[in-house]
Amino acid sequence: MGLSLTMVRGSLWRRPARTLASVVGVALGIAIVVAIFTVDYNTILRAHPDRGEWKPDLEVQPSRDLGDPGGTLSQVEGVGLSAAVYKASLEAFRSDKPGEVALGVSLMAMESAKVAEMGVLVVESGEFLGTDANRVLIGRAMAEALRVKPGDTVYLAPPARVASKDCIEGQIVVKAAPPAPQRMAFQIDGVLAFENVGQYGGGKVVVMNSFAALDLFGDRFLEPSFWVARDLSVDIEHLEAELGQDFSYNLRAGSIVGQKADERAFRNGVRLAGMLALGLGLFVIFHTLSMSLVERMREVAVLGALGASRAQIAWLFFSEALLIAALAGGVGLFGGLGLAKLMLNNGISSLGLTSMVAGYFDVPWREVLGLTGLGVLIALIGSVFPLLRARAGDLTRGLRGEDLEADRPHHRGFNLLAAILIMGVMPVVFLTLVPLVGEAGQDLLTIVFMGVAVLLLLVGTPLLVPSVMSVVARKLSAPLARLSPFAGLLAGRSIARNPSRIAASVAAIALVTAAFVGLRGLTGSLHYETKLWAEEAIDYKVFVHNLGGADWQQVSADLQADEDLGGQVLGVEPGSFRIDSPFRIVGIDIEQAAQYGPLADDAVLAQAMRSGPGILISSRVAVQRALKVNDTVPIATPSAGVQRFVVMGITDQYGYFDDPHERAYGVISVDHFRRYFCLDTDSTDTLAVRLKGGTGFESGRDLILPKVRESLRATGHPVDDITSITGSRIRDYEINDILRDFLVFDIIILLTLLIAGVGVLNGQLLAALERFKELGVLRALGASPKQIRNSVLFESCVIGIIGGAIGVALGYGMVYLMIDALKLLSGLELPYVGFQWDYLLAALGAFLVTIVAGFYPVWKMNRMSPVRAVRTG
Amino acid sequence: MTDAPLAAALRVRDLYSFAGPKQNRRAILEDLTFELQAGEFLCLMGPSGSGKSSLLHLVAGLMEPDGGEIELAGRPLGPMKASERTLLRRDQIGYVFQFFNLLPNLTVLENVGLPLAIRGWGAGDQKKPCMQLLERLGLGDRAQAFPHELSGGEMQRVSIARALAGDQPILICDEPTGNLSQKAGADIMGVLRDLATNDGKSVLLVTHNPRDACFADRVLFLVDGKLAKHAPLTGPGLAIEKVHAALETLGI
Repeated sequence: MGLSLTMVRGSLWRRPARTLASVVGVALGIAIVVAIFTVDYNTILRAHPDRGEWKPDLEVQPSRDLGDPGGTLSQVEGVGLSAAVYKASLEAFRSDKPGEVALGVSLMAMESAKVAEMGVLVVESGEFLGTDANRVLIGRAMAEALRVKPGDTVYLAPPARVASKDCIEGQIVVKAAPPAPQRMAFQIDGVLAFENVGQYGGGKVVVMNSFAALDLFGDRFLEPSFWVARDLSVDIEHLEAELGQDFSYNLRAGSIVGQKADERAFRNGVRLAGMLALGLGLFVIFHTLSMSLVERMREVAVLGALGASRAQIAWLFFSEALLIAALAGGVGLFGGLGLAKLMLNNGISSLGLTSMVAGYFDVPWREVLGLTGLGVLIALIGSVFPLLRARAGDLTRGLRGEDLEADRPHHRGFNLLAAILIMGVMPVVFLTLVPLVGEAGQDLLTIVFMGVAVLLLLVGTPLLVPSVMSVVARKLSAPLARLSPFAGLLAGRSIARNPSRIAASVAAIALVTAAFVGLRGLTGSLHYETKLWAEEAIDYKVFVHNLGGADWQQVSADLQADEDLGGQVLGVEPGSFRIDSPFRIVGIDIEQAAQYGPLADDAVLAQAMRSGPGILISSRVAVQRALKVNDTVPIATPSAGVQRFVVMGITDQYGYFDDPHERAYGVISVDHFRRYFCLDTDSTDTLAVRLKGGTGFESGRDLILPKVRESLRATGHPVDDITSITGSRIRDYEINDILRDFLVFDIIILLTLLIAGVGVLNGQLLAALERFKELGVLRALGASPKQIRNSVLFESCVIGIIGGAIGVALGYGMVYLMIDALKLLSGLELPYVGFQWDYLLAALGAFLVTIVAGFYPVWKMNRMSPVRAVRTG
Repeated sequence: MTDAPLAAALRVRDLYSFAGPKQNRRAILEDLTFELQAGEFLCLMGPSGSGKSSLLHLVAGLMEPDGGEIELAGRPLGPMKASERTLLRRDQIGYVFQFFNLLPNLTVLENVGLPLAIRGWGAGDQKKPCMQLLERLGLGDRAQAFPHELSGGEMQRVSIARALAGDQPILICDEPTGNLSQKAGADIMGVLRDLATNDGKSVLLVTHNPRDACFADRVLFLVDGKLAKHAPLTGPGLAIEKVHAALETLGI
């Protein structure tokens, strides 16, 4: 222990720069993954919209012609657990005496065993619901109101029915009132805690077996619902597509936070970027340990000669690695949490920029400690190589101070170990701790494969082609040698002697540059896609809000007849007629829509949309749901069961509204809305006005708001709150959103660039220390500090140029892969974009980082005393 | 030298060592046989490349011979595992290097205490004996200095102090004056002589410096990996002319 303490103190404490560089490499990697996970955790926690009453993940209603809805539902992929539930209102009494005032309660009649399996029935006193017909569980508020407890009897009756109404072919039909119901006695088995189902009706809730409810209600029809617990391994779109054929459903918003295709893509991208950062951090520490061993082989040999056993020497390195890893783990953990807090406070979430997360900070300790442990563990395992190397080292060569860098087989062995750890062990453990969001399908595997492929490049380059790298580097240093022949000679020799180190630095710089280029390409593609979409969907529209139930047909007629507008207005789309099952469906007036877009070009299509149950779907829905023309879309209606609409076309020209922004939707004739949903389709709160474009477009666009106000003012409609926004403004917001949302990636890449810089700095510093004597002798022979400095900076230049060039080339190729991957994951139709000039900025950034990383070794070299170098061995 | 009866601290018999690739191996040591008695100061002289340092590495168990036998404190190294050789080296041998090989990140005191630390002593326990050694070698006031703050002579004294700290009976010295001035070299040799005479240490010195050889009880000559047939010189107090004459006879 004494030896370890002495040596570790000497090595770490008295070489603070090297210690710091080693710690920073791993700490940054850990900090990035901790920050990413914490930000994602808080994002999902805060973005959760279900603040009030508990709801299941999914509540579905089967179409009435479905024979065995429960059986069918259990076969649907993505349904974890399901249970039939009947919901109704009940009147509760303490006795069966007439005249007692009824307490209104909510009834939840269910397949109690199945619901219990979902874990949503929490009994706080008494027992769980028995299997007899006359047993109930009641909510806390109901127990308090009726002053009853488990074991008591409660009397229940359906409320007296009033004459009901029905929607039949767009007409409201009033039915005859039925007789008053009878009370029935039920024994209270238990009282529910005020959570989950116990929260229904504010705690005034009765839970009973479904067959008991059917008895209680007698001949009255109870519409069954099914509660569904999602199987989280199946994507939400997949589940929706499966359900859409036979069920209408309400998806609880909370169960899909961060689960939509584009959100999954974003969150998974952030997670994989974190994995990449951790990999790079570990790569840096491995090479630091490896290179520091070369520097310290004489130390090992002296200890060996003094009688230290190989176990003692191994323990020394292990202690040192343990301290570095533990320190890095601590710094990384708390640095990562600090970074996460900073990001959250500034609205940076794993779903992009949002004000939802600001001011909140919860730490998922179990996961972040696991991630920190992973980083520490891999860094420790990385020390195995120096241990083995120290154990197997030739002591006599170390005592003579012979060059150990030339010992190539050991470097290959190390690279192989690094490859196994970084590419094999780390991703597997990482993805176990931080599983990717969504189905573990082919698409996600493609993404993971890509990540691993990039890591392969990272470790494969020095593993396989250090000599090639060395040749290229030397060729590249030749012109620099003409500027300063002596410094060029030194740089060339250093490069030739340390091909593995050069290749490792180049790989690190190339990786970060490639990631930057890939991300820039991806955002470029998203920009372009938004631009293409905007041209079709919104560029010629003005969206008018807060109309307060205006007569949109009158407004449309006034706008089209207005002389000042010069015939610019082709038609309007009312935005208030919409449902969200199975996806957003918007009702538009086909006559108005037939003035522009595909309905204007194709009279047959327009006629089909008017007459039959036809639907036009947006391009995003088409991709996400794999729908094509002539497919059918089942839509649940309140009175006519599930109606099947035929896809007549795919277009973004109709039906988009900015509030809320949703590009996955379909449009049907407003007449169908009236018919199937009994909605008032005469007035609207929101309107999209479609302009013709061309000459007079801009002046016409600016006149829309005053002209809408003018039209409504004429009918005495209030106009003060009416606002408008042009399509081009929405497009600009959307494009800015992409930049803002991708800020989180920019932060990760900047930090990763820092790790790569630390890697280069480490490499050059260790190389400088290793060459201490050589450089001292050169100084003694008359080499100026400037010549020595230039040799290091030349080396930095070469690393920066090669790393940047490889990075840009690799990144350019990666852009296509990343776009393909995002298309697969998010269902976006993303276009490919060509070379962009800011790719060169990435190369320039990489170059500058390597130059800056060279400054510390230069400073260190300049402080070396030539006298000390030449008089000591 | 003490008057106590001499016993062999080290025995080397028919020693062979080869170097180079398998298809073109060359002998660096050939048929070497000699003994180092307890309390004896034995000097091995030879020109550069004669195999002196390799012989010390073999004797210390850092290398394995290709033939012959080495016995340390009566125990043959041949059948021993590397770990056993390490333990024997720890107990029997203090090592002084030509290039000092002080660890640059450790203070003088910590460098001297290394053999004790290797045996598991804590820093507090190391301090007293190490300071005594440093005082004895005239470095009491440099205990907290780092190696780069010392002169060459001081560094070699620290190296000797470190070799003595473990109190091993054998001291192996590899050209200890090779990097020192004549005065500093004589100073160091005086210390070694004193250790043999007054402390009963067995000192095995390899050098190519005739002045150093004058301090030894016995001088053997190593030429091209073989011990010269020339009769060994005996001391102490050898005249340097005798050493020069022997070297001339051997053509060194």
